[in-house]
Amino acid sequence: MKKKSFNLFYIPALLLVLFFVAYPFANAFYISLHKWNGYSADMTFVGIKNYVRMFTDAGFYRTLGNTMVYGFASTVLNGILGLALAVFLNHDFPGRDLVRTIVYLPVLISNLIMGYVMYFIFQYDHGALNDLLALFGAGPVDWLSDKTSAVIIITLVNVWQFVGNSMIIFMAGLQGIPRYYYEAAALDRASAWQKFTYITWPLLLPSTASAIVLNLIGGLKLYELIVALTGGGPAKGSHSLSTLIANEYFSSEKAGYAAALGIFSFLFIMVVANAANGYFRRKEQELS
Amino acid sequence: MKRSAMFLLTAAMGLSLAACGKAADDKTADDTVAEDQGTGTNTDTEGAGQTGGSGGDEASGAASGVTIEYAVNYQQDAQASVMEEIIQAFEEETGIHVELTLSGADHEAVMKTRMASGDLPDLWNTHGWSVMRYKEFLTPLNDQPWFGDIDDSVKGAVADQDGNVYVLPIGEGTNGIIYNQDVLEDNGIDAVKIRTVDDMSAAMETLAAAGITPMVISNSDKTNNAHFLDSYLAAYLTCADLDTDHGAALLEGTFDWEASRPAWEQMAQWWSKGYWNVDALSAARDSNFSAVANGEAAFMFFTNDGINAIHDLAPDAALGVMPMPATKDGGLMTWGVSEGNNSCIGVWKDTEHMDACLSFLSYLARPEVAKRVIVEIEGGIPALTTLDVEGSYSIDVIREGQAAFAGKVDYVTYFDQAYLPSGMWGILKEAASAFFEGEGGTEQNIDAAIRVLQENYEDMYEG
Repeated sequence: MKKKSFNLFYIPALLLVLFFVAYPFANAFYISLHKWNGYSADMTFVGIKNYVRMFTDAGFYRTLGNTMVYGFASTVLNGILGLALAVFLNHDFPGRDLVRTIVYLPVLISNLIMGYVMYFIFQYDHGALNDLLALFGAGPVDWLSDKTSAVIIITLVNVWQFVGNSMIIFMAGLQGIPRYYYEAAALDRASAWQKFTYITWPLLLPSTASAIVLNLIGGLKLYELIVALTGGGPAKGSHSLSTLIANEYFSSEKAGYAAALGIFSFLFIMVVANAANGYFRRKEQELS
Repeated sequence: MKRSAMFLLTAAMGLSLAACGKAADDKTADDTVAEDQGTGTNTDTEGAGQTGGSGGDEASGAASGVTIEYAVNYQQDAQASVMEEIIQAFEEETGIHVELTLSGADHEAVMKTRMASGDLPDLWNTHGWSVMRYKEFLTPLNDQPWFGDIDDSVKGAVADQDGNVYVLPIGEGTNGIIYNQDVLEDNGIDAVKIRTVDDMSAAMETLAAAGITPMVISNSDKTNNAHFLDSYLAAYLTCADLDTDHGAALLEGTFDWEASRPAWEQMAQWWSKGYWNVDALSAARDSNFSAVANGEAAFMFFTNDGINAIHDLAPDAALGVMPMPATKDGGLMTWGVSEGNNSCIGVWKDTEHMDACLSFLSYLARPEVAKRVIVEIEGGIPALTTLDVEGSYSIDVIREGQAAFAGKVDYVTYFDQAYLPSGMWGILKEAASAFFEGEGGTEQNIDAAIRVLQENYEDMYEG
């Protein structure tokens, strides 16, 4: 019988998990069962009322939909554009390093600052985009006053800012593929598409998994960009789960409801991220 | 397992936002009083005793060398620079180090988090909430040497039912309508003659016909639409000479927000006639300031700090302020007053450096220092009788407005602070956004706005 042992080196990591995961989770769950304004000494136990409210609130489903758009649409667009840029910028041509730098530069800017910069571009009154339209004789558009357009703009800005990350991950993967695979394929007269589908793509799977999971988590918990660009508006129409939690906690003083949203957000991101991760692990095993 | 743990950690970051707080210490204001008395603090409104023997300046010697934290809500760099200069002079004089924490527009959220965690700054700006929200965390200051200098006009806003005052109120805030005098004159409008909502509608019609945006509002969720509703709803619901005063029902928690429908219908009329900025739903506060400063718009509801903000953008523009017009002919106009947003400072009841904090307050209360706070930081009316403030643009503008409308104004504590549970500030913003959403101003919009107010009012009142 195999003897069970406990490695003492696990303790720091376990303490971190306890402190940063278990305790916040337990505390949030406790708060979610109460009605509380977020700062006073008085908390009223309300059972699962906050959860019932959450699942019967149309605003919650709209926010959940937005969150999925921020998570999944950003991931898909980032993946496609990041891979295309990586393949393109993996070839040698004059000015390649400059282009790589330009594509990666937005990643270095704070998400919050990016939001404020973008607000000046998309705002109705004297916004850069509307000034540009005016040059062509077109009238101004109130880009951020419509819920759908606000969500689309946030998604596109998020993709544009972080496509450089995906590009770097894919580029590292591309550079790790041995050249002789391509040389052998060339001897067999494989087309460029065949080289991509039979060599590049399968061997990029680990990079793809990393890029997708990182983008997914980043998109699902998107916060600063929304705060700076729309503040969750118009009329709470562009909130993600993260910004809605902050709004309910601080602005509406519904800390219990915010905690219930937090618990849901935690479970949602965990399930989605683990599902994606599990899928790619299976794929890697199939190909190995 | 390793990967699962990684994702757990990542997801926890999102969760921690909602989980960061816990119920604050169960101590109440009464406990505070008892504790303070135990250590020599006298909370008698007559100020018969002194706080731990530390009435201010005389205690600074003993406190020399300590560091105290002062959290402020300034949103302009210039305000912070002035306070840093004041602090530097105070440090040189007393040896007490003051650490200035600038939380800007997030001050309210930061303070809520810190109240929940029981980790409060030694001093902080109470931005209108010294009694309703912060009282249980603040030290009564009735025994301080400057207490007798507090102007009677502000005592109603800063004292609780027992007469306890929890802040040094250097300035008084006002909430009304800021207007561009040049724009009105160019269009033959005399602001002083605007006494009723109908007068305001007529003025706005003239302005709209001239291609001017009559009134600006911003509903992007970081903005001034709540300032608008705060003044506007007071005129319709709680003004002193209304046929039906809804104040009692609002305070009892029995108010039916259907009673506010006429106010929303008036707004709908203005919206349908194009009297508001087209981008009302997405505009930010700063673009409203710019529009008034540049003469593209005429009216904007805001507090006194808006006067300085607009004046900074266009120093040559002539600005004026006026109260919210009456809802009936010959009626009273309403003008909101409260503790100054940036100039009322309270002391944490559990601070380890009470003497140093009280020394700092006494220093700030000195006329020459308080004058700087009023003129260069607050821009409002002085709340201390020792202050003789002349030559401040915003104060001159407010005084001119008060003189022009004298005798026909009901000065009221800010509507949200006086009548709404916990102020419902975020809810007022939400209701205004619901009104302007989509087409804006429709029956559905009005229903949605009233529903937001009703549901949250009932919910928060129960709390």
